[in-house]
Amino acid sequence: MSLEVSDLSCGYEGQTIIHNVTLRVETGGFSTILGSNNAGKSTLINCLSGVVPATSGRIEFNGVDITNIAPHRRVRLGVVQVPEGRQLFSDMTVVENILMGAVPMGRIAKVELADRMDQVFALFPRLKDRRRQISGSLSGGEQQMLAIARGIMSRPKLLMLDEPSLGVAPLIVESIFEALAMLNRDGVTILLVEQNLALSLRYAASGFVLERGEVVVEGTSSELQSSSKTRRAYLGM
Amino acid sequence: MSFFLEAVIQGVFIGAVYAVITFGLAVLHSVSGVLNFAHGNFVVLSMFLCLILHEHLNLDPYVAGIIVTPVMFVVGAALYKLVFARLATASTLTVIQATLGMMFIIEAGLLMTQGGQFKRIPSMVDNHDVAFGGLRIGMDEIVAFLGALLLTGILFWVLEHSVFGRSVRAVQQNGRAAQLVGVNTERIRVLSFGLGIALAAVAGVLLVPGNSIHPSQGLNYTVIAIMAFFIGGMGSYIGTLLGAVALGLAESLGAVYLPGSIGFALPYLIVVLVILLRPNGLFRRSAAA
Repeated sequence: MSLEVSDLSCGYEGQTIIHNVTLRVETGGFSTILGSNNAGKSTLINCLSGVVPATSGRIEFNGVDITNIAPHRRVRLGVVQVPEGRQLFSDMTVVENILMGAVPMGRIAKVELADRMDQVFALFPRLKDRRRQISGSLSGGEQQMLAIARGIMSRPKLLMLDEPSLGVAPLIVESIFEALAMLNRDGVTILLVEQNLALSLRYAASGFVLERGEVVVEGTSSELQSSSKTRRAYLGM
Repeated sequence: MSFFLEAVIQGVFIGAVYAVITFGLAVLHSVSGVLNFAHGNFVVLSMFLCLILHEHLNLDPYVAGIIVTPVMFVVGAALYKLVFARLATASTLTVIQATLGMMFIIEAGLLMTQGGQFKRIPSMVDNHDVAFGGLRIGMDEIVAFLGALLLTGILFWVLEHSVFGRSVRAVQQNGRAAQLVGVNTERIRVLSFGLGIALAAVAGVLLVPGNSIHPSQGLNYTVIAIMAFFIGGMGSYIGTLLGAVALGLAESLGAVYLPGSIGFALPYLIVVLVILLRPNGLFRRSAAA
């Protein structure tokens, strides 16, 4: 049981960005995709989410081929992405944004919805204080918390995050990553795309280094930490 | 004084119906970015469907509306599937041309099959004026106003509080994010097109009693809706409502108090003023932070 990507290529019109990527994330794992700017990290997880179509290869999630199914159906299967730049519904309140995260569950009882909302607020108490606020008025860190809160409302099995530390104050970054670690301990598989090498290797157990759309190194975090290839791919030297 | 009051009441009443037409235009625009230049033609199309149902089944327009509205919902949904979904990556100009094409198709189709005469459809509310103080108000206008008010209330509630309404707003604000949280954005667009055209249809039905209908009236309603949409700030439903009522008032007060054709031009003058002074409309929602 896991996410299995085999020989995946994808990109935008006429331009392939990801070339024959093969990777595997075990259920319950905490993995990270590393790489410099333009390595194709976002394109890769957007392809896993289905908003960038695969041109060849295969994506399997818990034994189900999801290569060509619509994005919302992947969410229903438990594959959820927290996108880069948060992408909140900026005219909606905090609560409304969180409720949008519950859409894939369809009709559920009010009690269950309230229960989930409580769990989300327990993870990010700051959001509870700001529940009636318009999300566009939150700070960067709070917006990131809200994006994650929205993402976990449907209780994803695999949570993919694209640069959650971007534009967030360092202290808040720590608390956001602590929340991710907590989710991971509760059984959520995490796949993290990060520019911040030290931070992501501290929290992730394993990872992949992407360079020009290809996986060039993979291994446990400590292996990646000491690999000269990692630093080279990362710093572009 | 009673002259003035009558003009105000008439303006507000017709403005409420214009608002319903404009909500339809706004819903379509919000989920797809399409500015539907054929929108008023769907109002007229539904009026003529009422006529056909009256001629063949002798139905009252209000009763016919119960059939016409769901039919137009399906028409709207099909329109998205067959035309606009395929134009998702096309340029704005192409999409506008498509809506202009529909405008001509509907208008010409109605002219060919229904002829170019003005027609009236008899209704149960004909000749039932209500005396109100010193004023007399037509029952058709009262029904149209109350119907429009009810629809507005329902629409506002749905958009604010239902999962569907929130999803519509989500698609409007950030389509990609809506997909990523699990909204079936295509389904939302199909349903929104159905809803938008159905709103045009209901407005058409409400306008049938008391008005003569003609195949070439469509552009008129389109222009009113687009003006109200602009004044309202293109995205705020409250703004749309107030914009439409303002246009209704300008129309009726202009006709009463200004000489001849200048009176008819008053709504357009107001729109030009608004565009000059508040280019984003009077009720622009705050832009994304």
